[in-house]
Amino acid sequence: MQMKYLRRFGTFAADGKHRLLARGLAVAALWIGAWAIAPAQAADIQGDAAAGAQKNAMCIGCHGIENFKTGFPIVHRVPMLHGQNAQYIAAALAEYKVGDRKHPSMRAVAGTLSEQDMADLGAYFESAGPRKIDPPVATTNDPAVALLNRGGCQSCHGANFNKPINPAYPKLAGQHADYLYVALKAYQQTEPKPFIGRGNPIMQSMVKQFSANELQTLADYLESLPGDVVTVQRSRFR
Amino acid sequence: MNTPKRIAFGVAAATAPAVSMADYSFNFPDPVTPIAHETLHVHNLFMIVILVIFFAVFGIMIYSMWAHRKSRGHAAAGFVAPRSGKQWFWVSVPFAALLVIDYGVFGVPAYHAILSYEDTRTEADMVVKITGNQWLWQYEYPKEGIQFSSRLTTPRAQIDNEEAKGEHYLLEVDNPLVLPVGKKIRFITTSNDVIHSWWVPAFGVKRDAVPGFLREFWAKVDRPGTYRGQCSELCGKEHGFMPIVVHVLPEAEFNAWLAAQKAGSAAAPADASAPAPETPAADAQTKS
Repeated sequence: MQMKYLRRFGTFAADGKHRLLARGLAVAALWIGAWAIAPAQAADIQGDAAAGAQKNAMCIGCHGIENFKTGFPIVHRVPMLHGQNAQYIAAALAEYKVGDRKHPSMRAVAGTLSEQDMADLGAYFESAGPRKIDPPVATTNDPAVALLNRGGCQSCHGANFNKPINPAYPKLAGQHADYLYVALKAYQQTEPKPFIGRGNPIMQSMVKQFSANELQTLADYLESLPGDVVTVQRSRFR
Repeated sequence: MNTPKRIAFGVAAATAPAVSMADYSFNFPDPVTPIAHETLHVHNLFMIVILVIFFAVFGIMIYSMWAHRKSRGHAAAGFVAPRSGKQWFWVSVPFAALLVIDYGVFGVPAYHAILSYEDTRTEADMVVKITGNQWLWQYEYPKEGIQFSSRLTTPRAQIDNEEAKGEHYLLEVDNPLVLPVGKKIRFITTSNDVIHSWWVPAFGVKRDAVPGFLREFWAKVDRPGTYRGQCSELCGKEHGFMPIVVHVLPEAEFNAWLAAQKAGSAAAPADASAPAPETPAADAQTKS
């Protein structure tokens, strides 16, 4: 039921006339959603970065190697996680576990994790980021800016894309463009497929309006922004 | 000490460490499937034939060096082509002997072993799908609708040398594969990401798990027990940390395990529900 409304809302948001109104509504809905979700997550599970560092063996096999590439669904660099928001990482792992986010390897790994493991890993990755910056909002005439405004991306992911309004949302600034493109394309996969797609209805409705070229432009621009997320190269002995 | 005593003492000293290595096996692990038996048989046969040829060739050579030396008036051969029928016969003997050994003595049992490895003539009693993943194994019983992941349980502290290593160091998992004894099982292997290889030495089987492909093999385990193996295709950072553990149970116990899994206790580790009949002999195999 909720999904249906959100889909309809997506079409509503995509038509030009109601864009501003739609964006306002979206922000309001997200705030309410965030209030509803955030306390439930934070209730009793506290991430422990030190415990996460003991559990990250499988993660850093890919996410601990700079520019490491995976081959599915297309060849792309795996996302940089060090410095990413802890709550977002835990939430993403939870989505992989239940299959809302689809990627065979991630699903298999996340499937073996408890909520406590996810929180610990989130805390580990957030604390392991060497950078904590708050870059100024970029003022350029990059065509991507108009696209980002059209999608209302800043309203959740932050004006500089490094400070999302809710720690359960990802920092995007500086993230690998090829990963961002694959992730955005996954939200456009609305027909159920076993191994491709992401189920977040808000992102689905926001991304629907963009062509593949536009998504590529967005992704390239986001990668060029300064941000916290990096890959900390793992030790050769670990 | 006279010479014979010295020799006897030397031999005794050289072989003494073997006593302490009684548990150490140079040979194949104790086979528990028909294919593993055949593999061991082929291996032993090869060893015998090779040793016979080795001693025959070197025996003749060393004898000739001693008996046909120059000081006794022997001249080196001119190495011209064989002329008489008798010479042609002895030239063709090794050729014929090798043909018979390769295609007959070795070939027939090897062919038979491969047939049993790829045995599609009879129906399998059960299908198990094995999916390799960086870096754990997933098992699925498609007909029974059971699916679970099998992940290393060796504590990080043991790997980091902060604790003493356990008995099954790096060969222990949370949810082992559980199989019935004496049933023909069709294994299907595939992978989610890169090429892995599913290998249990005591079963005598090893199949690459290739992404995008389904590969298969058949096996029937004769004896209940716990069998351990490892991923045997280099698959990345945790390649050495994705072991395989198989519990082979008598049919009644297997059915009980199956019922427990179906009843929704899939989350509970199979270790708890399956009283593992650990046979030390079967268990010691992969450690050598």
